[in-house]
This record gives sequence, structure tokens and C-alpha cells, in this order.
Amino acid sequence: MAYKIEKQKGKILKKCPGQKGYVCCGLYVLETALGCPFFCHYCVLQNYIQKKNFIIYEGIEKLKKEIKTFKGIRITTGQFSDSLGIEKFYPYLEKIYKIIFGKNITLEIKTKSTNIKPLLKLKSKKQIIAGFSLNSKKVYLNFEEGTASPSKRIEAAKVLQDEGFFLSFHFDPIIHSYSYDEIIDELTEKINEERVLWISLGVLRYPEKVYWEILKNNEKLLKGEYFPSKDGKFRLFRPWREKIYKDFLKKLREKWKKVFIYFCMENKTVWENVFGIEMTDKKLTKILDNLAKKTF
Amino acid sequence: MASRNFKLLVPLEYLKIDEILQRSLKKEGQLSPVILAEGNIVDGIKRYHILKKLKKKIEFKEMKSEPFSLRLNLNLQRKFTLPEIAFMYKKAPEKLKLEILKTGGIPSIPEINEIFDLLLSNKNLIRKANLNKINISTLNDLIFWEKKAKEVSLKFSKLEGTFSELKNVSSLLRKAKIEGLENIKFKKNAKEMEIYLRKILYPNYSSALKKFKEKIRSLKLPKDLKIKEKDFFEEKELEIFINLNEKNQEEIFKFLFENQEKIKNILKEIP
Repeated sequence: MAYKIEKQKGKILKKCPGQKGYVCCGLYVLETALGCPFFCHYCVLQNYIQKKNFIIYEGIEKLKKEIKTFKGIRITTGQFSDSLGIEKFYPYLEKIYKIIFGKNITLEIKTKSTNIKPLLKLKSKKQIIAGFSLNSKKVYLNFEEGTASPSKRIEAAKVLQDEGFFLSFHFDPIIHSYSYDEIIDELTEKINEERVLWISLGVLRYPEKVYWEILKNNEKLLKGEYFPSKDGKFRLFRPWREKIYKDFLKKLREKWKKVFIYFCMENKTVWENVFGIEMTDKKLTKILDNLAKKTF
Repeated sequence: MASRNFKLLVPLEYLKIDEILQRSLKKEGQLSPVILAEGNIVDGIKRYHILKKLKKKIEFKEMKSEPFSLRLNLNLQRKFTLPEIAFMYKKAPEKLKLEILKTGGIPSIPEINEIFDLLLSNKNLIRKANLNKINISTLNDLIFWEKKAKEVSLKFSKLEGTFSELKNVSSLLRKAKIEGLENIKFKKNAKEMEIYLRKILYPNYSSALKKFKEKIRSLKLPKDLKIKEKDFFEEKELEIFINLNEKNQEEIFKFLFENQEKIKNILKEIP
């Protein structure tokens, strides 16, 4: 594992560019790092940086200036890195929190680690959403090297929930040949639905360049009927994705009836066939922005 | 010196001759000398060739360096073609080999010798590589499936087809390996092989496509109207292609008007 510290040359806060033809949740990305200390075989960041290597971008003071033009947005440090995974190497969270505290902005942490100390040390729980990426235990064992086990992540989430934090969970990527029943049971038994703001789902997709990396890492991930889609990424045959989502939802809704569930980068046909609703970037962003207000 | 015949360090066929260079040499003449080392033209191979054809005086400069190393150093600014890299890699001293790969941005993989041998043994591949139509991974696939074909006593290498058909077959065979499919039948040509592999590797899509095509066939479309599925059914969409002219316009609009409900139903029934 190796990392270096570089100056952030461009803007530090950027809107997630989304993908043409796919509904985007309107999250803003705070680019504090690229890469992470873990090695997930399916990770898209392999396209940009060697495994287990990462760059920390200095220049958080820029955020003070950049943030002035934004209101009511959700930001994350977990798009190009693991929000809490890199805290051990370069404590960033407190600095970010000082800048956003008291403003109309929420910070969504996204992690596969259990390094929750930096969150617990914050002076308040307001404006924070503690997001955990979850997967089936078999997916973790086969493809998520160096991360905390899903059970440990849920335990960490429970500690945060008991401390008064709001939570989110991201099942992304869902790998089609694995069962998610066990992890859904564990999640719904240990966590209080009321404290969960949302759950996102996304079936594995990958750009062509990452295909070659995945092929080297673990070709099992490439099993199935994947096709190139509008945004250049390879996606599982759409009716199969819908079946996976329906099975997942059926299981989850047995226990959790109310929590908001959304798809990460799915097209309108999937939204319609699975949820029976017409979804747009604007609508989804509004729903999530409103839910995020609970943290104030 | 111009009357002497020099050896070219890299054969001309491995380089890409561009018209801009030809025009510039014709108009401006030779701006920098052709570089020689140990009796080889190390740099300026294309210039030498063009100027010789134009029967122009050629200016040379002799250097006392190892030829391949000199060529690498003199050409750091430009992108080498794949056959050029392959040739240099095969001929250059051992200590330079890694540097040559690095210069070409090519990974140092164990199969690299085999890949380069395959490339340099086939004029068609050289031509495609010079046009950037194939890369290392495609060549690697071809090698892999050559071996696989030998293992199962099948003659993949003898499958006839266009390069793109062979490339598709190659990647489909790679997918077959990932899926753990055995007992793959070899068909008489690459096109048939591709269709067969798509069918067994993408059964759900193939079945949806078959149903879709049956429905389209039942519409009995006029010959200048085509309805196709879009992007592997990624969305509930279909594509309509019309080749409209004065003769067929009445027939096509009448058909679309009379069959609009049927077409809407096909759209609705897309999985």
C-alpha cells in the first residue's frame, strides 16, 4: 500500500457528472482523495490508479470559497475513495466538518471500513449521514480485499445509530449470482429502520477499460449477460437487473416497509418496471435532499 | 554518401508513412539529417525513403552509439507503431527490451514474445496494427485461442472470416472460458461461429431477440421499412428505419398508419 499527497489543482467540489440516459441522485463529490487502501476486484478506480494506492488531495481551504455558491446540497468524500478508510492516513473529516457546519449542506460518508472514531469525535452529529457500502458475505470474501466484513460494518453502523447519527446503506455493486437474503436479514435485525435515510442499489457495471482489470483480478465477476450501454459501460441484461432488484426489494420489504430505496445509475425503464414510477434526476435529487434535512 | 545503400534499422513496412511528411519534404526539402549508426539508418527511415524516391540529395550524420538505443532516444516525442515496437523488441540487445516496451506503453507480459512473433508473421495484422485497428490485447486473445484450439484439436486458426469476425469470435471464446462452457462446437466459418457463440453465451437476450424478430416478421413489413431492437433491450425502445422515396412513400405511410397498434404492442411487449 502506498499513498502520496498532492495539491488539488482544480475545483475540489464537483457535481457527480452522472451518465447519459441514467437517473442520477445529484450528489456532489468532494475530491479529497483518489483511490483507497482496500482492493475491491470490481472497483472502477482501477482505471485511474493502481490497486491499494491512493492520492490525498490537499487544499480543503478551497472548499470554504467554493461552497459559498451552493445551498441545500449533499456532498460526499466517498465517490473516488473510501471516506473513513483514508482517515487513518490523513485525517480530513474534522476539517471538512468545520467548514460545512451550520451551512445548508449535508456530508454523506461512504465506507467499507469500521473506522468510525473520526465520526464519533465530531462536535455534533448534525449534517452527517453515515453511509456504509454493503454486500453479500460471499461477495465480500471473494472480491473485497482488505475491507471490514459486512457484519462488522453493520455493527459499526449500529454504534453510530445509537450515538444519534443518521445512516444510509449502499448495496453497490450487487453481483447477480449471489444471494443477499442473509445480509438483508442481518441489517434489518440490527439496525433501526427509522434512523436509515435511504438505501441505494446498483447491479455491477463497468467501463470497457476496467473489464481487463477485472479479468486479471477475478474473472468470476464477468459471468453473465453483459452488454454495452448508452454511457459506454457494460451492464447486465436489463430484464435480469430488474429481476435482481425485485427479488432484493421483496426480501427487504418483508422487514422494512418505509425506508426510501433508490437505484444508482439506472435508466427510466428499470425505475418504471420495478417501482412503477417515472423517475428523473430532478425528482430523485429533490427526494434525497428533503430526506437529508432530517440531519439538521 | 547518398549513393551508398544503407540498412534500415526497422523495415519500412512497420512504419506509417504520412502524406504530410511527403508534402513537406517535397516543398521544404530535408530539414534535419538522416542519422546513421553502425551502417544502419537509425532515424529518418521514412525521410530517407521519400527523398530517395524524389531523387533529392540526402544529408546524413553518422553517430557512434548502439543503434536501437539511439533510435529510442531520438524518437521519444513520437508514438511508435506496434509492429515497430515488436521488431525492435525482437532485434534489440537484451538490456534494452524493457525500455522498448515502456516506450510503447506495452505491458511486460510473459506472452509478449509469442504476441510479437504472431504480429510480425502476418502482413494483414501488421497493416491493421499500423492503422491502430488492433492492439496487444487483441493479439493476446488470438494467441490464447490458437493454443486453446490446439488443445482440443480444433482449428480455430483456420476459421475463415474478416478480422472483425475473428476478433468477435476470439472475445466470445474468452467469455465461454469465463462461463466455464465446455464442448464448444467449431463451425465452418467465423460468422457462423459468432452467431452460435452469441446464442449459447447470451441465452436470455437471444431468446428475447428471437421473440421480437418473430413479432416483427409477422407484421410483413414493406421492404424499405425495417424495425429493429435497440441497445440489447436496454430500454423499452425500438428503432424504425425508413428508406423513403417518391415511389414507396404512399405504401410506407399507409402501412405505418394501418399497423400502428400492432407496432405499439410490440413496443409494449419488449421485456
